[in-house]
Amino acid sequence: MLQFLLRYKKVAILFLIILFSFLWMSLQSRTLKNQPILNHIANFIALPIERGIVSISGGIIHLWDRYIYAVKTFSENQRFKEEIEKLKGEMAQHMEILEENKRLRQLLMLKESETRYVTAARVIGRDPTNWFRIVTVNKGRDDGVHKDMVVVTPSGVVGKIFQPGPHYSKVLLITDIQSTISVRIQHTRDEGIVEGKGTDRCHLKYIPHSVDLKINDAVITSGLDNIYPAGLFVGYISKINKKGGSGLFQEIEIIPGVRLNRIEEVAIIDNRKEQRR
Amino acid sequence: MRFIILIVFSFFLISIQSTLLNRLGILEIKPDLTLIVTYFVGIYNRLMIPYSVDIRNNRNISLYFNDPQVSGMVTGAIMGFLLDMVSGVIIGPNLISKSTIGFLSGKFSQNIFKIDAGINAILILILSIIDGIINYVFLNIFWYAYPIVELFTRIILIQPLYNSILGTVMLMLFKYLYHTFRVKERGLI
Repeated sequence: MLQFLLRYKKVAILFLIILFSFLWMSLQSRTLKNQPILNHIANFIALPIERGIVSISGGIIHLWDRYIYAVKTFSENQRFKEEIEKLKGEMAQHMEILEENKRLRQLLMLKESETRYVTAARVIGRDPTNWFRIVTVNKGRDDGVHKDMVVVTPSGVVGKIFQPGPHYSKVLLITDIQSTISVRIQHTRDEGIVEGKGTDRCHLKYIPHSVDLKINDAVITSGLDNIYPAGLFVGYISKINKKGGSGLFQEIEIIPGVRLNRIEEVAIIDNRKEQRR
Repeated sequence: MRFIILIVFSFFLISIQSTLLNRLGILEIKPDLTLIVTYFVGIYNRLMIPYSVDIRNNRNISLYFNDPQVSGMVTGAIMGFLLDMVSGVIIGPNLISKSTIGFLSGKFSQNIFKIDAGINAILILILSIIDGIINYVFLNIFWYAYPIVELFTRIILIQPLYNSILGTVMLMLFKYLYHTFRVKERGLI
């Protein structure tokens, strides 16, 4: 036996890694818990590197833009070139500030109108794998953020807090396969469940064939899941397949109201605040 | 020491994957840098060994092990484990898939006589498909039932193609740097 193991020791090592992972995964699966301590340690190291990369890459992109611009205007008069470059740089900066102001003003309006508002946060990273739709934001438990708080933008629901860390939180986007939201079709008032597809779309489930829906019908949260407050915009119906559904229900696809691959700033709200009242 | 360097390097790669590579996503699918690097470590391990011996003290100071399969496997295990840790959902699928990729690429390096850009592209494509299948199977068993048509096809078809193209570009870059380094070392320039 020992001779056999020594002969195939590399295969044996791989087998041990697989066996160890298998047992660990079955343990995580049984308890339905991930490893928050290991995740916090990993993010404690990874987040400063991510922040550094984001700020350095932002600088490089800015420099690159300036370089491209300089090449294009090479034949022009030097004075004009410098003047235009300066003005264009300033304008780009102003536009960026203007855009940011617009987004922040919208968030501020949301803060003023939203009694459940907890904090605003910035997206600092995304899941490194392609299997999960999770983003990391720069606010955590120290800022009053807790598990299952709702993440929104003025355009609609983004997701919910999945794993709060001390200074960061992981947000499970509504398009993730594990995400479910209790919803209502705005004009018919029929209730259903929106589930993520793992892509940039969602499924709307449990809508009977008898319900007459149209493309672009708005879908809002119903509040029945006790996580998402009622009345938040989720998205539009983009595809209806009455024949393709399973048995009693229609097969419906939803486009989220928020462009989830482009979000930069979000607001975090606490549905429990209202429930406690 | 070699493990610390490997861990720091892995964190750096994973951070790039979480931030910069999002800009390069096609249909929201991004390439897997950790897989490509694990493959390179397994397949080109023998090229790194000549640079890893401290002649004065007669000891191996390599980041890598002398055996390509062990090198690939250890690199894959560390990268996969850290990828699962940073992802924060379930620890295990990437640990298994990347260790297997490292092991297989080490095995390929011993059995394939000439590895050119075309062979590399095909190998990365095959290994990426294996990586996707392993992840898919274990996530389905232990975490959540992933829809086979939408997600499986995107990750099993698009990501391998993307990995293959990026891997080939990276290989050309490495070859150029390697060649320049060797020429300089021999005092030819």
